[in-house]
Amino acid sequence: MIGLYVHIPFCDGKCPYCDFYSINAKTDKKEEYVRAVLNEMNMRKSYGLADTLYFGGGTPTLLKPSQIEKIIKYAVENYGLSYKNEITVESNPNTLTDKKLFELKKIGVNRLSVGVQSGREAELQALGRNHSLDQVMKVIERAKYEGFDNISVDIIIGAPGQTSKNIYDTLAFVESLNVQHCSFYQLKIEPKTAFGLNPPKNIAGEDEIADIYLTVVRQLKKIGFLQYEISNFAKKSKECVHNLKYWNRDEYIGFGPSAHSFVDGVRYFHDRNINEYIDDVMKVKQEKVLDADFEWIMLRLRLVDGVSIADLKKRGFWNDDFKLKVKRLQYAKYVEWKDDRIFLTPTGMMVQNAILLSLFK
Amino acid sequence: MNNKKFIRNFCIIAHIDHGKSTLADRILEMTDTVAKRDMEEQLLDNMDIERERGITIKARAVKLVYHAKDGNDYEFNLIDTPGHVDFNYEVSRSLAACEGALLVVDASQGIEAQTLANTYLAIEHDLEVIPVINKIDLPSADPQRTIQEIEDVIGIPAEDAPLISAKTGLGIENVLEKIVSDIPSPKGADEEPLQALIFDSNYDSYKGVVVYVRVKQGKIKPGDNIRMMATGAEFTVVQTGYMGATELVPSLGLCAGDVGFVTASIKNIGDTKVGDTITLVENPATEPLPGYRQVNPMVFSGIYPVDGARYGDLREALEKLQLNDASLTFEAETSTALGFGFRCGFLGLLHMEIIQERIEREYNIDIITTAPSVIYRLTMTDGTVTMIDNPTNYPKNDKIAKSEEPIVDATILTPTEFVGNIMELCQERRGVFKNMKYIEQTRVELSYSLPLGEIIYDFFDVLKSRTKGYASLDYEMKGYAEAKLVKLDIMLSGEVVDALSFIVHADNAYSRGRKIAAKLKDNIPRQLFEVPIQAAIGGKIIARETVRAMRKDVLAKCYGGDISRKKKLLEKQKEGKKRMRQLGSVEVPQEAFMAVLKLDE
Repeated sequence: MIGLYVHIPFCDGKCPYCDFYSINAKTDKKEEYVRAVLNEMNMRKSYGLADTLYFGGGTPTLLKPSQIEKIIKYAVENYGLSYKNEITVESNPNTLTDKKLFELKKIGVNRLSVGVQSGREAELQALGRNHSLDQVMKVIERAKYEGFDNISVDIIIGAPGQTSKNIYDTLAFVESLNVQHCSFYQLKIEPKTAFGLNPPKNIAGEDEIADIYLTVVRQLKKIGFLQYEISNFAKKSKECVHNLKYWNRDEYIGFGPSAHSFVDGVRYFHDRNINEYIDDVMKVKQEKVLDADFEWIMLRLRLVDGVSIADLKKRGFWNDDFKLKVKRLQYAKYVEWKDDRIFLTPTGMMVQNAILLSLFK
Repeated sequence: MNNKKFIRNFCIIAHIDHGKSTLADRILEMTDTVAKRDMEEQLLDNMDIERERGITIKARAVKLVYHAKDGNDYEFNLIDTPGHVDFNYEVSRSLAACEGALLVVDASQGIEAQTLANTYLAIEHDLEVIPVINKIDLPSADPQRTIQEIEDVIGIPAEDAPLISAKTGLGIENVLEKIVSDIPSPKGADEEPLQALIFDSNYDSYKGVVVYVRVKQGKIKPGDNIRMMATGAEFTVVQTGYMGATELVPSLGLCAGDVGFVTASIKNIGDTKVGDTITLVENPATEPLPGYRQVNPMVFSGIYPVDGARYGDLREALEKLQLNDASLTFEAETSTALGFGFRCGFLGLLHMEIIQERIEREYNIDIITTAPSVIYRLTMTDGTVTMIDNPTNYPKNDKIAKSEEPIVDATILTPTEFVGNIMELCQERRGVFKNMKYIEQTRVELSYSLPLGEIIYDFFDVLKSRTKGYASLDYEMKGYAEAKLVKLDIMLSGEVVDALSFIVHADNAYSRGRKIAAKLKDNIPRQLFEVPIQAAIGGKIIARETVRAMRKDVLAKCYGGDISRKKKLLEKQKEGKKRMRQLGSVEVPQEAFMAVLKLDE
């Protein structure tokens, strides 16, 4: 089964750290854009049946619910998507009015991902966010009232001013929201962002970031969030089905500028240009596919499940040299080896790149 | 047949930056040897590195014609001399090819150690020395003081020294007239058996080795069978000629007094040693010209390609460099840490730096250089004597009865205000004070006896930085002296890295070991596993540092199925690793090897 991703490249403003493709929502192209997406969905409907739909952005909740509804309907009618399948919409707290929450629920959205980013006002300000903690609490409360029982919040690790001490404030805030899922992404300063041009000074260093991360993993576990991927945590059976497809090397189609797809062993993507996209929704670039086995291990080692020895053998990785390297990583507590599975520890996840490079040199 | 009366053979002695090359350019210009439009700045220095560093590495010569005020045309042979202590012997051979020397002194800087040493050398060779005061156009110029200094320090009259500005061309004609009136014409008869002094040579891919000579007596022409008196090699002359400013100009032959070139299908530059005498096979000279000696490298280091696959390219580069530089030696060696490379011998540290730079620039090979070493003389307990230039071959201490290191006599000229700093530096480097002489009220000449091994690291750099660039240094090999030496090993993750080992005086071993460990710590990036760095003498650890394990190296977000970022990052990191050397389980960047060479920065 295929996952469907729809990129909604509209935002009220650009957050200083954000490198995702978006344009200002005031340039009103939304209607035109939704038509283009439907057009592309039409062109690719032969690719197969889908069982997840994910609206990412940008800020998808800047679309009218009726516009989102068209896309959902189209997926249901042409990709065999069921309303019981996971249908996620990413959102910014200040776009979620009571009315919008009511409508989103009504049109079939069953999973809400909210960009909370921090549990400390000072960090929210430093991150250029246009909402308060109070607003977040009210929005989440209201969402639950409207019947959302699968809510995720995004938090940033390494926000300006964040330390391994005050991360507890953010963790307490997340706990108080009582949601089903959370993602803790480490801030990566990209060159062509406001932060890239003018980096904030009070960002934690390598060791402090690692400490924050380990604290997050440990504390989340205490309040019932189980880690299932480097940056993702969920209460029992609330893992994000759509995102899991990326890490399992399952197929997905990405609609819209900057969206990536993986279908039939081919990886392709759209350029980061909405006008070009509207002109020609089928114009894509193909990505060089790495060795499929390497891709597999690179992605699978992001998951707490890791890889099975049987799979390693099947893919030809398992030899004495590999075993020796794994033992060494195990000794350094980067890797655990339980029964027939090998997986990274939280410390190991923090240095996943280096581990991959050390395994495949 | 030349008319010796109208020949003047001379060279220019000057400190770096005192304007030797600019003066040479002006002379070429004034004698119409090169049209102005063909002038490239500083024509005689034709290697890029020479032009950048403002020094002459190899001697070179040019013939020019001057129409003097007395109405006659004079043939000038200007022989350029290398301006650095590493090339002392080459300087002496260039001087031996001349009858006179222009001593160029910067009117605001005064005499420097190198100038002094070369002037003494010129006087030893009975050259007529003509002082020339340059840069008189500068506001800080003090020609009277400079003249006084020349008279006081060198003891030659300087009151009618031409006051010039090579930059603007002021006073150059005076200099040319001085050359005509003061420098003697060459002596030596054409009828005597041939004696031609080799003062330089280089390799031309068409002609083979081009030998630059000064004919002292006799004649040489194409077709002659010649013999190199020191090496015994024999050849048949293909071409003779003289050096135009931009190209070689063939001639029918060369006579006594001439400066010119000879080609004879010579393949190996080692057959044409600087200082050797060329004679004819038939009717040879009974004696070679005096002063020849075999030049031996004094400083050794390992050179390795960063990318092991380029070993063959490195060999080719060294072979080509050696074609033009007989004083460079190299032989293959293997290092556990660095793989296949070469043990190279150099005249000195500058020579070493120049060769490294040329390999990287002209041949585009990234290299790693190991710490330079001098030649130590060890008397073993069984009475045998061995010379060691590679720390890897240093025997265990209990097998050594006596260890000796090379010592130099160093002369440092400095403004008085820096005497304290210099004494401190020389003391740190185990120098033995010999003498201090006031050249004038504000400048002194310090004499020290210093271990060569102490000045091949970063002595020049530190000397310059502690004297704001004012002090100058010259040194001369003196001999060997007993010293308490030890081999210092560096271990990474418990394994000795042979390429980082070096020989050091026992008293300095602790501080050197600590400094190296600290430098390595700063230059080895954090990696997956902790890297202990240890300095050890014969198994005893004397210093320890740790590069802690890295804690963050992950792309946290694999968003929207875009795995291309992660792949790109991994590929970039993989590329980055290629610039590193894998030593056991540790990755060491090229810079780390360089950093240990510069400890006092």
